[in-house]
Amino acid sequence: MDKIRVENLNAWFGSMQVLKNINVSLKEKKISAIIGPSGCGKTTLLRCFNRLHELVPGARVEGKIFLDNTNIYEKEVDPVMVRRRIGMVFQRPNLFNHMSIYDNVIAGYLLNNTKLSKERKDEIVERSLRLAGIWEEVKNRLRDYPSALSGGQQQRVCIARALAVEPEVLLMDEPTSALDPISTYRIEETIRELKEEVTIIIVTHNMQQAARVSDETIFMYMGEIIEVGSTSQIFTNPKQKLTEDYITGKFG
Amino acid sequence: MSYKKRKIVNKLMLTISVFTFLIGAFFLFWILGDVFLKGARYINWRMFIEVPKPPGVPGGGIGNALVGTFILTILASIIGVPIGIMVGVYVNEYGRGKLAWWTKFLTEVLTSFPTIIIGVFVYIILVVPMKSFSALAGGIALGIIMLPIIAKSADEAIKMVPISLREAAYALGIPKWKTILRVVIPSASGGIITGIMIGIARVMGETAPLLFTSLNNVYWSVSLTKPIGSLTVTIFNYATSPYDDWRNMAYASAFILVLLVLFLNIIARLYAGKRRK
Repeated sequence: MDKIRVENLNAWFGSMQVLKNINVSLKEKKISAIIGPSGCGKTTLLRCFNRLHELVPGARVEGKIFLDNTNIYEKEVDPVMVRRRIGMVFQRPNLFNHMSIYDNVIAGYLLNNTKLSKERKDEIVERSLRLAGIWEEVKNRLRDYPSALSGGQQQRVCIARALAVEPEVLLMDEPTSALDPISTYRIEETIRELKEEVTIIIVTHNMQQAARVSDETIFMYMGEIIEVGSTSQIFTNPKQKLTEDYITGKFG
Repeated sequence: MSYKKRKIVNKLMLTISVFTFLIGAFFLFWILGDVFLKGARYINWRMFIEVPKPPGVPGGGIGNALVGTFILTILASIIGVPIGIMVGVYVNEYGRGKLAWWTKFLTEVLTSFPTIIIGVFVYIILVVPMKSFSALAGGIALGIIMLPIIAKSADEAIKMVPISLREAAYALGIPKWKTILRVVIPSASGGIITGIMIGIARVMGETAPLLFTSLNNVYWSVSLTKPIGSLTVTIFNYATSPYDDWRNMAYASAFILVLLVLFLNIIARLYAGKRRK
């Protein structure tokens, strides 16, 4: 079952085209990894899924992305509503420093003035932090500010914050690139456990990581998709020469 | 350049910069010292609760002027703070292209605009039609002076808020206006509050625009439509008077004003320093 289907997607920064005629489908409740060398457009593609790309001054998108069966680039679709269904974790932890850890987790509700009972809030905070695999580490310091946490802990609270609003899809933009190996290991564990709950699309620079966590792999090069397939097929038996050269480290 | 030569040049430059600092500090401390020596001894508690007396009559105070300065500053803040913050938000979050550029440019121009002209301007548009000097006119004039100071500091503080924080909010499905109100402005609050304090300190020390707007009042007054006293105009009147006891009162008032402004500035600096950490 396809959760997301991309049709003839093109994207620009000013006059520079960064995505060229992208067509791809992503399966529900699977982990898809987007790999490719720097500047190949993988982050831009990810940011098209929740309509974040168009917020950059001078950026432009053309084409269609279907979430279930609605084109999210249709005129009458409100990007804010799209973003409520598609959560995102960024390259670097970006918690709100003026809010406590607790408030950060429920920020999706809090900043939208959604009224919740105390019990419901506690429940969401605990559930999300458990899902993100950081409940045990922060349960006694929920009233602290995020600056008291390490980078890896902050990143997992970011994951909890994204999960708290119960998105159908979770986008992850190189979520471990700024972290040490132990934090990376923990976050990868978290990602694998989350598969039961959400559809995950992860952009990564790290091919081993793609091989470890993903079910499907998309290889991009110079703004185009070169090859899509199951992760085991891409890594053991790539059909394209370019894919093989990239995963064997001939360039990248 | 040899090592020795570099060391000499380094010493020389260091000496020059310390010297220039000393020149600046010298005048500051001269003024502070002068005001303190000539003003502090005339300060007594009755000064704060009494209104001025005619020359030669013992006692008298600047209670009305303190209240006046307080009211004028509040009025100025009501105008300057919200509009200033909105300008800062506009040029960063909404303004694209020419209009934002002009807004920024005109804000700069207004910052260095002669304040006496702002006074005359408010005199023409408000005092003349109302046929009376008023606290309201004074507050508006000070508000116009305060506006660009706060707009500039809000602009700079908001510029410092990383894009990644805004994107974090957008990615959670928070609309732009709520993101600005609940993420961007709170994150920039340190710089904005510093700007507000500096703005307040600045308008508290203004005299010229008040001569055209709120004028002066030697009696207790809290009415917005009547002339109102202020510390600066009181100092101006007393200091230029031929009576010794009035001139002493001017020094005492000046000392109080300097303390107030210094206090606000120090609070602002401490606050800014704390936020930076």
